Amino acid sequence: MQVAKQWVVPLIHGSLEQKVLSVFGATVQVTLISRRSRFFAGTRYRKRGINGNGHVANDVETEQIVQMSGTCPFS
Amino acid sequence: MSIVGKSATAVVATKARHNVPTFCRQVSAISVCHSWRCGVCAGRDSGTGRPLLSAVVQMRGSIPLYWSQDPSPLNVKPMIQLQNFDPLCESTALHFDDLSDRYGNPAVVLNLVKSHERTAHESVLGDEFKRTVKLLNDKLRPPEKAIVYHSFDFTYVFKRKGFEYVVPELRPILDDCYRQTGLFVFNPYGRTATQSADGPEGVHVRLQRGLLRTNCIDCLDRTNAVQCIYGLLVLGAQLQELDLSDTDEVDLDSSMAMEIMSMCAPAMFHCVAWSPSHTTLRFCGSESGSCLHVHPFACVPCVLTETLDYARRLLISLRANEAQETLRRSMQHRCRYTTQYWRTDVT
Repeated sequence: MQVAKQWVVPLIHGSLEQKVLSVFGATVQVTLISRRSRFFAGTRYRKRGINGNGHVANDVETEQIVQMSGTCPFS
Repeated sequence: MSIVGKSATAVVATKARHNVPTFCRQVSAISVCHSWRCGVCAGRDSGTGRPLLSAVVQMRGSIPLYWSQDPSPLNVKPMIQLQNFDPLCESTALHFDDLSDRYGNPAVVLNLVKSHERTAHESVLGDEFKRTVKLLNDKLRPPEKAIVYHSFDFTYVFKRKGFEYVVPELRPILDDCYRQTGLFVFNPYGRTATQSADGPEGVHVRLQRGLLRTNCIDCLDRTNAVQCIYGLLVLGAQLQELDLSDTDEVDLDSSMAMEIMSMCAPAMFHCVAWSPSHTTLRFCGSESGSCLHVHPFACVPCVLTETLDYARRLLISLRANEAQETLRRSMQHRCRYTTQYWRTDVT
């Protein structure tokens, strides 16, 4: 069944953490995103190793983003 | 404009004939463009209005072989059973092909399983993984897609020498990984902007090529700690690329490092681990009615899962004070960086 794109809600199973830090007087925003894979998922001890499609257990991608907190004071 | 000695992005162009800034299109063209002439945007690209940023991706995953462990809760240390289902390593090859397609090359594998053992347990799996990677590199993968393999016996260094030896001994491996993979940078005004040739014409970006793939046996404690350390080491490079720092070194005792480690805890432990022994750190021993709250700072990866399980059983069996003391001794002994941040409260 084809589903129109506007009805599909993308989800991430994982974690999102953000903090605004001051680094040498400048303001940066640090974001940490962890995304668990939906393939070969399972809890501890119950999923180990790999399956026939090349998907591994406990597959988590972690991204660390450092972004300058830009401020645009318009006159 | 100068912000603490660092030059900020200043828009000086009046009316652009080419490449009208996207930011201008999103709002009223007249008001924003007029403001664009005399406003100053700090930390943003004047052409696109996008904030300057740097990102790095790493991953964890189970050892990509056919193996299993007995899931019985009564078994404290379940045996590792290695199955020989795939002598040609086709599934493993599929896995690394997928990593190449998604992240580029090379994939740098960091294997944290034990290699110093009285009885071969984890080392069997570690040796098989090393042999499989060598087979893939020699026979099945072209040279440009070669897998870089490193092994590091985290438990041996951690227990025999101490946590303070982990980072210096791990550093060469992580530096090699960073040198080979790099990171994503969007900073047209940075010192390496002229070398950025990865993006479409007119957009100065530098892409990460490949990634660090970390594993232990359960991809929890040791992997958590190493990923946190790699994140901190790369953070220095990210700040340097954004011209916020003159060096790529980050002091691991600094408050900034503490803040990053405090972010790692919920991201990597409670949400990612999905392990009962981690989540119950902040829950009550329901049978006893008492609660043990442990602040989830980076000291937690230093406390091995076996200690956490023991503490949880103590809590359930109405020995809350012993549970608290067990964790306090373990953290104090193992982690010099965060002893001032841990706190256990029994309510």
